[in-house]
Amino acid sequence: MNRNTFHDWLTGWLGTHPLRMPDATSPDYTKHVMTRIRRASEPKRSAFFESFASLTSWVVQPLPALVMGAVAALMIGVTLTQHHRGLRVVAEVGDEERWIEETLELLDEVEEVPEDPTDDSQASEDVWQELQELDEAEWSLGSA
Amino acid sequence: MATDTEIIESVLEGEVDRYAELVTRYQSAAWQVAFGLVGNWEDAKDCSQNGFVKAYQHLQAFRREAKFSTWLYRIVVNECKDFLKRRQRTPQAISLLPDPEADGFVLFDVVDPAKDSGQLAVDHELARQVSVAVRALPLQQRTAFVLHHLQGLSIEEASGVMRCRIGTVKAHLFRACEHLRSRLTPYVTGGITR
Repeated sequence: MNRNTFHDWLTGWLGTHPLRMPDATSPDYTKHVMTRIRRASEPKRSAFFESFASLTSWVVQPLPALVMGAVAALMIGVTLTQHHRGLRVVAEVGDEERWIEETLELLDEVEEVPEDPTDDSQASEDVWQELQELDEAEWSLGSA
Repeated sequence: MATDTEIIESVLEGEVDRYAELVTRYQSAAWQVAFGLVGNWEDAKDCSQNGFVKAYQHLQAFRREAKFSTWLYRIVVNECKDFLKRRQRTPQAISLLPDPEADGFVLFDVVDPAKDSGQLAVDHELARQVSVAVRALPLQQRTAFVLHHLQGLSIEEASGVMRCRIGTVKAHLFRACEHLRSRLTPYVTGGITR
């Protein structure tokens, strides 16, 4: 079969035999994509909140746990002092607030926020870069 | 109906949920392109969905000089290339290759109520042979063929997706047709289409 005849046959055949359609009505497709997108675009919870949210962080990170324990003990102490010492407490509450502020700063310094396994933005950035380079190399070879 | 550009602007302004409109609009086409390249619906679904997620992540970089669909196809094609490379490197790759005997292997729709069962069987066999021949094309030829002949993109659009010159796309298409001719001539002139 010569080239032109085959080309005519192929064009005609493809014209009457379209590419098969996937299950375009599947709502899962869009839902799945949007779930991944929303997950990736969720703002990260604050480091302070993370330390409360995860019990494992208390186990894995003893230093913040100890600091927070100290905060809790101080608050109990202040409450008891308030009960027993009356007006002197006012001054101590000021100290307590300052102390808590300092403690929170310390927490920020020592705390290691666990990596979010769902956050693949950096990884995908790398893959994207790699794909781009592979692609450019490959297609430019083809174009040469 | 909102244009792609309007939707993209809304998404960039923070209406993330509107991206679903673009996904719904292009999911079939993106899935089909990936199916033409990787050979089965499930892997094609993964590749095209990855393409949508990456397109979203880089939406800010989309310059709107080209159509969104062209840009999306380019990302999906890259995803497929990456997938095919991974599959090549997988030790058990043979078992992951599409099975030519499986119904999902056939790229083309052969359902035609006007034909009797005998004609349909013949048509189905020819569709299978064309699918085998298309799948055997080298990746660049296959990409050009899928985009232009199967997905209906113009040669200019295909060159935009493949990021190569128009002449290069034409050369890939020519070679693809030659490959198909050498493989399919016996079926076209022989028993199947008699």
